Amino acid sequence: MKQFLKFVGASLKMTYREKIALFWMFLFPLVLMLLLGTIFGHSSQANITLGVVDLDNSQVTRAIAGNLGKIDAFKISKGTESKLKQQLVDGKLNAILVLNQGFQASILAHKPGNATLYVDKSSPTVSQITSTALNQVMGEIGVNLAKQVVPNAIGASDIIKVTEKSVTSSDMRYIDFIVPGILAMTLMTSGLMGLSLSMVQNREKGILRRVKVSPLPLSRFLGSEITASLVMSLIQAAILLLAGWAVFRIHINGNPLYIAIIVILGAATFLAMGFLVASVTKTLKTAEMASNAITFPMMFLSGVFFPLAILPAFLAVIAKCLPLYYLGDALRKVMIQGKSLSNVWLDILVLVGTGLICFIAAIKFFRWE
Amino acid sequence: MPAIQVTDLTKKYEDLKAVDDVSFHVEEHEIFGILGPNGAGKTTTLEMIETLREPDSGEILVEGMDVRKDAKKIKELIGVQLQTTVFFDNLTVHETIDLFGSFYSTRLNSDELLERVGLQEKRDSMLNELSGGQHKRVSIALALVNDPRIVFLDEPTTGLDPQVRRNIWEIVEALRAAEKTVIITSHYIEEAEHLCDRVAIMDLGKIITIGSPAELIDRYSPESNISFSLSREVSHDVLAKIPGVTRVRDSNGGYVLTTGTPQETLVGIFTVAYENDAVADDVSMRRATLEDVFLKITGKRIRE
Repeated sequence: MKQFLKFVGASLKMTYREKIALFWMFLFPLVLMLLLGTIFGHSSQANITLGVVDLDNSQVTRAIAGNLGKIDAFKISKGTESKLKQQLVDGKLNAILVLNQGFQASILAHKPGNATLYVDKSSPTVSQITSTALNQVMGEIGVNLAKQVVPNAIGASDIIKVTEKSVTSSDMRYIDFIVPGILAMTLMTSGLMGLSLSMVQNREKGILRRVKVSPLPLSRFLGSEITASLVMSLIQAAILLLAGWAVFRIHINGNPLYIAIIVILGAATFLAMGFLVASVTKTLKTAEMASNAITFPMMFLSGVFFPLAILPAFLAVIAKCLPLYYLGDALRKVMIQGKSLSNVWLDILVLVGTGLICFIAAIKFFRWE
Repeated sequence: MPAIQVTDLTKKYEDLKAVDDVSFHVEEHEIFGILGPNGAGKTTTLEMIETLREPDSGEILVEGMDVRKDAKKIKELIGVQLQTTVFFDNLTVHETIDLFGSFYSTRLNSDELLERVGLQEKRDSMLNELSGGQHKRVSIALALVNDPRIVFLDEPTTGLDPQVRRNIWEIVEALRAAEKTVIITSHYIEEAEHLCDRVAIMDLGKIITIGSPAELIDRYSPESNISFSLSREVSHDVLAKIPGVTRVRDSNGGYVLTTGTPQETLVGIFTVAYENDAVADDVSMRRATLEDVFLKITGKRIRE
């Protein structure tokens, strides 16, 4: 155990001293996230699509609905409550305002009417904007209503009492989409590149042979290298998520333990793949080329930067053949949508399977020199 | 029981017999050298004993244990310096020794080891800041990290300048004093002559002969060459009559006499000079070396 920790410690120390590797592992994903986040991150909030359900269907509620429609920031759609809710879940709406039955009656009784606002949990800014706008609208309406229906009513709070309810949508802000994607990509590159290159280098330099003439078993040697890489991956994930939260307030709704499990699983899968690359390539150059040949297509075809929905159908099929897609998908669902591990069983299955196959093949082809 | 017993060892790479039916033994506490040109099979032989390579046939016993069956036990009691190892760039000397030390159940303190190989002041330098000689010394320190009974040094001085080579020799001599068994390969004749109790001369995968350097020279090339010049010419016939002389040659305006009894011959040279009213000058004597032995047996030089 002591020996194991010493080895892990030494590996981490070496990585820490390798400044170029540090750049690619930590700075590059951060820069990428900042760039993509700043360029595309805020676009989804220009217009708020608001569903309005008028259950009271009274003079007052119709007036409210009508006035909401006149505000530029809102795009109003009407329909039944269940239909609109589905649209909210599908990401076609940002919020739904339900004006409850008995709205007018309670105003006439000098109590505010009850309304429910359903918002997308993953975008709290939308609910903020919506309620601000609602207050403004109610203020205006209040003046009119005062003349017509309720002489005493003046302020917005006298007219409407909004209860907020969250719905988790399948849609999310681009930044919430991209951060798990970048994390997945980072785990892939550092897993593939990190282990395969250091392994090949150790072999080229004869370090593996020197280890072989010592009593240290191969499994211990590999185990230490893999553990060190996993520790690095967890640090990478923590830094990325922290930065994403600090800069873009990404919504991390998931259970931290589940997130860590997916991160480790993803890292391990790509480490195994890197190990396989190291076993089947002869020189550092070919190992580098092979790693690039694997990482680049995955980076662009796995839907880590853009949702599969906006890709042409054949590309979406390709993406679903690549393990990175499943890591990105699992991270997104667990981290942002707060799903549990059982919701991403397919992703987990694919990752574990890929990892195992690569690992077994890597052991089979392993060479000391 | 010898420290190492090798019997009928053979290793082929495709069609090439890298090691061809080799047998020898290494006594406890001796420094045993394998001398031969590049490609003679020295490293392959060593690596089979070190458990790094699987022999095609033959038997290797290390302290009575078979390398095929007891590799793990053998690894604990041997220390190995490989010919070409380059270590982790981003670790310090101390960290490297500490790390490799952790692979063994017995281990020496890294500062003590650094003192032994004279690298105390490089303790905290990164490996990639070291010179070739310092790097070699680190790999020797690593070979000693588990306080091994048998130490393997594969061409420990190749590519180093003479001064640094001498430093390494001192380290090896200290191993003799510490009663280690050392097995060392080299293609430097002086190194084998200087360090080794016994030398195996190897060429084309075969061991040609084994013995102490003095024995080998006596056996294969017992004669010395005396070269000198004379201020007045003397005929070869006269020189050939000097006691002990077996051969007379001209060389650079002087003469070279080959003799089995150099002391007698030297006296004879001065007598001849005196009798012929000539002055003998530039007298120098060269005893045969292992190089001459190698040349005599194989018909070629060790280093081409």
